[in-house]
Amino acid sequence: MSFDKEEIIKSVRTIISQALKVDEPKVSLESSLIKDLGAESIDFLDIVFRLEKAFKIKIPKGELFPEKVLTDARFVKNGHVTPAGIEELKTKMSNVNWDDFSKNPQVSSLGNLFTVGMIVNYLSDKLQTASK
Amino acid sequence: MKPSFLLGVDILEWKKARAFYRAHRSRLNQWLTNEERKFIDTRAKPYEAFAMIFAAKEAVFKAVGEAGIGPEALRRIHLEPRAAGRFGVVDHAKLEVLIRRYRGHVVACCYTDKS
Repeated sequence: MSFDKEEIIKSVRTIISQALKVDEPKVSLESSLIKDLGAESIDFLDIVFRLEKAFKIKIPKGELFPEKVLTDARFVKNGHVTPAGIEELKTKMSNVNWDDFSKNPQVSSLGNLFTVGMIVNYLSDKLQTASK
Repeated sequence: MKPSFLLGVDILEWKKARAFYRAHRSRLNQWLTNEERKFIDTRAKPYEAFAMIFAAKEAVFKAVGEAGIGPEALRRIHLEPRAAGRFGVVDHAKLEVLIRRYRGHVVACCYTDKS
């Protein structure tokens, strides 16, 4: 099954809106899942499971939200992401502005960087690869 | 310097936990141990037990300063049910999690049990 970018955006906005119980017009590509839409950690799992169902794909652990980086002792120390961790995250979340986060790289504030656009970009790449 | 006392608190709405449990219960095995699964499955209201486990794991993450996003992270915390709404944490012998209900929410408080 193939999706164009507009279809992906529309579906993702609907899924996020339903998962987080927010009005769809409030869900923009720039919206931060936590800061703007009020997502909690249980919602991240919910969103992944809903995306898998809607797009009939399997999202490997850590591929969409970089949880593996955050559970690696090389990349997290005393509640902060290490410089090596930030470099690793940059390779996985290339569309993020890392300057502000780098000033105070607390693990607990990393979730603020997860946006709707990040999910759309991930799915676009994933579905493009799958259709090749 | 390592802190001498660890504390982490998580709050989860029962309603949200119930919706999640109903929608995704077939996938709980991905990130729960057999003991945690048994704790949930043997309760009259499994979603309540699920909410306790989820909130407890999140509280542990906060206490130890780690991120708890996704199944990979959640699977790393193994809880041992104890009496009186408490959980022990495998491989973190000094930590304990206390569970309480408060106005439609489950509140999990993870703290250093012994110094």
